[in-house]
Amino acid sequence: MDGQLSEVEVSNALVERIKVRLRRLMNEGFGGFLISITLFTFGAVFLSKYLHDYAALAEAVRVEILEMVDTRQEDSDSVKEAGLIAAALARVNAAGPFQSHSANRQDWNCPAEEAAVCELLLQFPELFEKRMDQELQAKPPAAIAAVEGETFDIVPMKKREPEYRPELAEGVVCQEGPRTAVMVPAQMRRPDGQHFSPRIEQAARLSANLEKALDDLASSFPQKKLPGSLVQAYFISPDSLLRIWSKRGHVQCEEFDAPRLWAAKDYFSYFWDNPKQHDYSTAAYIDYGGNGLVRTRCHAVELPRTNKNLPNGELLGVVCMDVKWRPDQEAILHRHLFFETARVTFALPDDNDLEHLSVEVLQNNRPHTPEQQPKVVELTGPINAGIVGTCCNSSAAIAVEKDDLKPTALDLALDMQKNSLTVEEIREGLHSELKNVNQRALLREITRIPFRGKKAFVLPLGLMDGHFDGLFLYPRSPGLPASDQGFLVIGLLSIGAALSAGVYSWRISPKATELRNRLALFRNLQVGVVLVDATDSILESNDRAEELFAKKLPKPGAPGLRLRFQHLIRDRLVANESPSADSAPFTRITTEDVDKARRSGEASAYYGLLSYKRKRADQADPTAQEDLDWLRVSATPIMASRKSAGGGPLQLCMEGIFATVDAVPYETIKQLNAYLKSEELARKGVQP
Amino acid sequence: MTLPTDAMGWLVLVLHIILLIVPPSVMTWKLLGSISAHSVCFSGLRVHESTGVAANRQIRYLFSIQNNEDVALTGKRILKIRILDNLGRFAAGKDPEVYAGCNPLRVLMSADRTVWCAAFDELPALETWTIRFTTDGEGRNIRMTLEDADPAEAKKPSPAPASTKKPGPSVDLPVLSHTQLTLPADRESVFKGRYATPEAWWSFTASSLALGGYFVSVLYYVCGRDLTQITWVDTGLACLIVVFGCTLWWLTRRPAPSISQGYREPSETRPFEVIPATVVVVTPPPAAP
Repeated sequence: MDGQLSEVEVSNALVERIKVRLRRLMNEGFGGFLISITLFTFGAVFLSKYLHDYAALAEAVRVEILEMVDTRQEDSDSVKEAGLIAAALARVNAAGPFQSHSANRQDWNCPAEEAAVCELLLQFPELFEKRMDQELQAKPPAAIAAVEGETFDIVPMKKREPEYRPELAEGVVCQEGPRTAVMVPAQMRRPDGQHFSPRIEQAARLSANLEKALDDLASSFPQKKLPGSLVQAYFISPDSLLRIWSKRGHVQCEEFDAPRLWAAKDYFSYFWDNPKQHDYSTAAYIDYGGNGLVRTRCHAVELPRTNKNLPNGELLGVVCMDVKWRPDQEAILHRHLFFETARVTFALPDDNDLEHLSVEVLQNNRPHTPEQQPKVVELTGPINAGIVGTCCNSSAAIAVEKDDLKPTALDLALDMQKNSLTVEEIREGLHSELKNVNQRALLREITRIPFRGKKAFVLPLGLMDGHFDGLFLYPRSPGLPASDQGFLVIGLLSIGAALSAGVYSWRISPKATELRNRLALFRNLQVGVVLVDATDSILESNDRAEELFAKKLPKPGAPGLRLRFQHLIRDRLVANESPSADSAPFTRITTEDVDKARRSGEASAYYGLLSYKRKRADQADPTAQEDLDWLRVSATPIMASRKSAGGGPLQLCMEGIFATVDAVPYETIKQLNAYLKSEELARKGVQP
Repeated sequence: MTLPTDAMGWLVLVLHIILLIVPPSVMTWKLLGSISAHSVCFSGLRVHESTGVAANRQIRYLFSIQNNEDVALTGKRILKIRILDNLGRFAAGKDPEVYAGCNPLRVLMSADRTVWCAAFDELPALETWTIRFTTDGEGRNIRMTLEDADPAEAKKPSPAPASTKKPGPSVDLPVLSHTQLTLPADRESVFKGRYATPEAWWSFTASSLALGGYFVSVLYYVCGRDLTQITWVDTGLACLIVVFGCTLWWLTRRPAPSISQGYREPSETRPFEVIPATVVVVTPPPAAP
């Protein structure tokens, strides 16, 4: 359409106009503003990145510590590592089946994936109590109590350590059956032989229902097989009698220490302190029997209530089940803030000699079936990658990108504190440090080994097909890594540069521009310009003035020469406005006259003869030189209002002089020279 | 995102989108148009007022217009000087003198000697034109305007900078930063133009761009495209950018180059070939303020 422009053309015209305006603004110093604000913005972005990372790390540490504090676990010989165990298991316990921050340990929030285990945990105590009730009806407690003196079939163990105390000399009292084993701490035995108190014997008899209850339980599952997550079931009496069933099959009494008081454990003593409670769940802990990480669920078994003043009957014991952790909790254990982790596995030799240990570092998590694949496993990728090399990093990052999973504060913190451990390093470290470690201790406790000058740890996860399965934990570097410190440094440097550029634009650039403009102006003037201060010193002058005076003069921005303006001129003549035949064409004025006029604020204009001879190309004609040494000077005082010394009213004071000098026409020069000559003759008394 | 299922829902959605997009777009467009307007400045000066009998009293004026840009202001325009007082007239026999160098100007005085016009096709880059004129003793309120040659032409594409060599956009955007100056009776001089550089709007625009860039960078680079991750720290840093921009603008602004000398000798002008409609129809001037 005629006269109408397309949108593109309109935009182009607008862009063109903006370019014109920007060009002018740049000439006027807007570039400094743009540079400053850009640098400041860059600095702010980098600072934001640093502060975000710092906050994410602080938050992650705070949450981790909170989760750690609430952790409880079975005390062990490695009780000195309790804090370490707590740290290692904190995240597993936080994601456990019970409410981690709940003081009520009977809460067991059963997740969907643990439905079978939950069913098992609920059914088993009922089945056990049912069997026991049948036993009690057949043989009431009083009848049981009457079996004083009845011997208990006990197989004493051979003593292993010669320095045992006398009461432990015979070792732990244990009876190994085909499916269960029953054991009593050695110190609970009567000194007269192998007899026990009636209560212990009663407990031994009642605990025999453990096998029957397990059979009943197995019959309720398909193929009459117990779920794989159930690793142990046991009964504990108040006198620390233990009857135990293990998924691994035959239980060897040698695995247990002789004086171990099972009734002193947390999962038993709980029922003394909480008589109204009947169930108790522990946090995840390392099983003493070598099953790795387990959780325990216990149920109190009581006699019928007889004393009306007491709420409960006599406590016969507790029946407990150890349940293996869920597979997805392994991934959680990998994502540990205070440690970098790596799965390690190696075959355990039969002779308990780890001299020829061959360590394999698993680069991926334990393989899962598709239906068992936990959702959080992708998030563990970057963390594993930092430990076992770069193989998994890219794929994990792609997985996160694809699923659009937002990194949590913990993920950010993990990424920030990532070390660069290699598979070879871990393999060599474990190989050299685990040589002399006791195999049984390796399965029951966290083993501490030196690694890279720090304390690293091996956490047992259990036995898998005769192989030790564990987790290698290496302490992360505390605080933010160097890359994040770099953000802080770059951010602060950018802001510093922005401030410097701002100060330059504010203080230096305007002065430089003003000086440049003044220089250009001075250079282009056709008259000489001299700026003089109140003490008659020349401050600035232009090229033309220098040319007219034929003398080096101070230039703008380059002071240094100390020259007095009045000293440059010897004679000063003022042309009379209407000279008559009798009067002189000029009047001589002195330096004092000029100075007096200036200080009163009056401008002065006169012809001045230089006090020195100018050098010219035409050196052969001295007369010509003399002829041309005249300049026309117009001086304007620069006045300013100032207070007098006594604090009186404002007074006008001269701050300097703005003088222009120009060449004098030749005709005028001749007149000036003629007047000077006549004046000289008159002084000598000679008639012209 | 759940899309609406009924007509009313779609209508509301469209209205929401329009309300979300249109106002900011219009504001941005207007802002860009405003800050990119061609910068000119005007100066009006009452130079001398003669004493004596009121009938013979005359007042001399010096008005100037300056192109601040380094590109020419192209397009047919009329520089008009109007005496706003009812009884005020340009002095008889003393037509205004224009100091515009060799630039071709066509001038015209209205029949009642209250309006004087000078038409030109181009105001060269960084050029200053001066008009010296004399009025009688009653002409004390003077207005100078820079108008398009024909009001109808104003609706047509306005000129773009000379470098583009094509007409400007047909959009409602200010083409000139200033178009009018009025010298009232109670003042001796008036200036219309830039007082300081950089102008506040340019600094505001640059700071806004920096702020926008900061938020985009933080959102994508720091917060992983999650708005909820933006914290008070980011907001505080954004406030710092705003404070820094304002402070920097306040400290670095300096007086803009003012009206320069211009030409020393008056230019030769020629009369209008076609008298523009705006001059022929002489309307009674408004009462003096």
